[in-house]
Amino acid sequence: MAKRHLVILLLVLFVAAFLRFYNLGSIPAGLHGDAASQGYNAFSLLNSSKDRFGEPFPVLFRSLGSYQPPIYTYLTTIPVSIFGNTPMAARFISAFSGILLSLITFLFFRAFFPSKPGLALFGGALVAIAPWSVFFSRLAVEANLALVIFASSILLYWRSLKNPSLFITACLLLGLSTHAYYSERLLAVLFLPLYLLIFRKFWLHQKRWAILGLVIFILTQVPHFSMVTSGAYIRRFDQVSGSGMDNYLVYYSLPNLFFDSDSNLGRTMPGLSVFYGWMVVPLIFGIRELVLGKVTKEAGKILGLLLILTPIPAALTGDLFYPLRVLDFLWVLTLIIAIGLYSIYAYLKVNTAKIGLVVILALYSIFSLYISYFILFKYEKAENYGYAYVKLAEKLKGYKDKEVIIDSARDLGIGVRMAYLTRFDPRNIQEQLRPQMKTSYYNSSVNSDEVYILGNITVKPIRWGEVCRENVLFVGDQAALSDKEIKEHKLKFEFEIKDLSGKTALLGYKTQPEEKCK
Amino acid sequence: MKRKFLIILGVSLGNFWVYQLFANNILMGLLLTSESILLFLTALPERSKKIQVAVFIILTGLSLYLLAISFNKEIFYISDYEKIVQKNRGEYFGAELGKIYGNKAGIFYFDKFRPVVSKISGNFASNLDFEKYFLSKNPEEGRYPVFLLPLFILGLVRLIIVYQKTSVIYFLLALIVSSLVSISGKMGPMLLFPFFNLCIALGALNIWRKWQKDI
Repeated sequence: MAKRHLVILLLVLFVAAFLRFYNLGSIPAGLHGDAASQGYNAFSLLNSSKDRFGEPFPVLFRSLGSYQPPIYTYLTTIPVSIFGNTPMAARFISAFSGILLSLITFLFFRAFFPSKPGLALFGGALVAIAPWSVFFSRLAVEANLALVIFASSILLYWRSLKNPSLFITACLLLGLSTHAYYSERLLAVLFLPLYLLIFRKFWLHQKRWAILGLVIFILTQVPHFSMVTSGAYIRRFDQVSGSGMDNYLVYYSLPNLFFDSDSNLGRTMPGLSVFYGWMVVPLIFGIRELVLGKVTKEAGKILGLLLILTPIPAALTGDLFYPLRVLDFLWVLTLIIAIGLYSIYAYLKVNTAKIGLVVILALYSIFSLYISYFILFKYEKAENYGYAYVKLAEKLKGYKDKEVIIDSARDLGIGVRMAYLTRFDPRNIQEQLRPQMKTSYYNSSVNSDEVYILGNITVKPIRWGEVCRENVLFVGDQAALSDKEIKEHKLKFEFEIKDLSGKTALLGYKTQPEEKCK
Repeated sequence: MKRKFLIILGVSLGNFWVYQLFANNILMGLLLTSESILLFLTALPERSKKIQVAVFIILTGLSLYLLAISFNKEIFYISDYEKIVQKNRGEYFGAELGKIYGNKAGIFYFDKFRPVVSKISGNFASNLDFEKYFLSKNPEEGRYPVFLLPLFILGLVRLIIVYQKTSVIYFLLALIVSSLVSISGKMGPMLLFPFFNLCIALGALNIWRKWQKDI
């Protein structure tokens, strides 16, 4: 690789790292329940080799009425052991995956188009700044880790057409990706046979490697087979199932991909869509390059296959357009956008125009991202990520002499969030949670109404029968501690916690049994 | 040539949209149907300069008419809810950007320019929602029968490959004007009607040629 390209690659990786790790602990402001679950399970594994329900080394992690795929949680033991129980530690693996994806995209293009090193840099850079990639890299989502593993396997499948022994590692990685996120479970079993079918002429001459690879892939699926009869998969399928052609086509909708903004967990940030609006132009050019066969025939086949397959798992769920479930598809689109952008870049004859194009697009994109994510998203969506509970964990250090009851009626993740942030002893939690499981650990029915007792703090739905007990502090949102309840139960105001937008998020009121129950 | 003409005529009249256009304004219906045929002719190898000029004269006339009678005033109107959002966002920008926000240029950009651009790009995006034209379950929006969607995609891909300048410029201009006007109900972004017909007709022509080759 030329020195100039190496320097640009390092710059791209630096930008990717900066956009993913800058203030990672405080943006998103708070800690989502799913992230806290992964973080606390990692903490629990580190301290006891069991998850918070006391299950030794689970194949799936029982959590908040469902199951989380395991690899993310196991890998999170590393940042949790280094950085402690912080929001940043819970998100670390996802953020790191985002940087790796940028590098793998670079390597991917280097392998696909060795004569176009510039295209590889465009690919890496587009992943580094793509809104979807930055957004999901800064959340503790397994899908981002799964994407890196899946993308690595695709790179190796391509390389294996020149060096068949790599097929084994490709199959191993593809198999592993199925343990990282739900979408990959279906995607892997769709991709592998179709890949072999497309390149059958090659693999019929390399039967030994092909069979070995398939055996490795099947071996990686053994843990899934062991789960099939448990009902744990049925649980997840029940939660998300529902499909239709509309659910598939919605992922190809230009407004959804380039213009509409939203800020739910599964989508993206205020004022910015999954991609920047300008990217629609290079996408069209990229498709043109693919259709005209300007990329190699084999590369076109793999990209075409991925373009058709990757939205299928999400299309089988009931949600219309849920980017979290199609990160693989968004990555493939980013590759096509990179091809298109590079063709526009190559079309320009004057160097000043080339540099101008790159600089203007990069600056505009990073500026838009900063405004939408690092400002608007931070303030406007703090309540969705439990910012107030992070503040509450600090505040309650001054209430050790009181019995604190935190209402959990509307947010399943409060208990595990408080346990993670207060570094509460996992063995104690295991003793509490194991008896509260209403079914076996792996089951199609999973209750999510666990009560957490963290020393003087209890996380459970508020019961007003307890107002006649002395020295009790109730904490909840305005729905739990409404004006009517406060008056009726003669509660005394103790504190208020606002979210970043200035709205009241949590209230603390203490009991006055001498007034209420005399 | 006769067959090609029949294809574009069939496509232009064989959809739900054209009848909505005629029902609303006969002259508009006639002009847009003629524009569809002319635009199709510009995409054929035997195109003439005169037809290209005619396409843009009709487009300019229709655009000026639509901008005059249906300019979307919502673009510059700020609702009470938007005022609250804008006020809150002003506080966030002020806290995070300091002097970058707190000067005339910054305030103009964030409080005036950005919201307007956001509304225009929203309109732009909704016109680009190709599914809405073919797959909408809303009878107000359904404009083409769903079986024409594959033909449309085929024609669109064909246009992308051959890069037919007149059609691309027509599409972009029609899209920009449609983003600035507000036409409620069944009429929709009517300037795009000829472009949709063009893509469907190109797709149909492609299949016709392939079929002829096969036999």
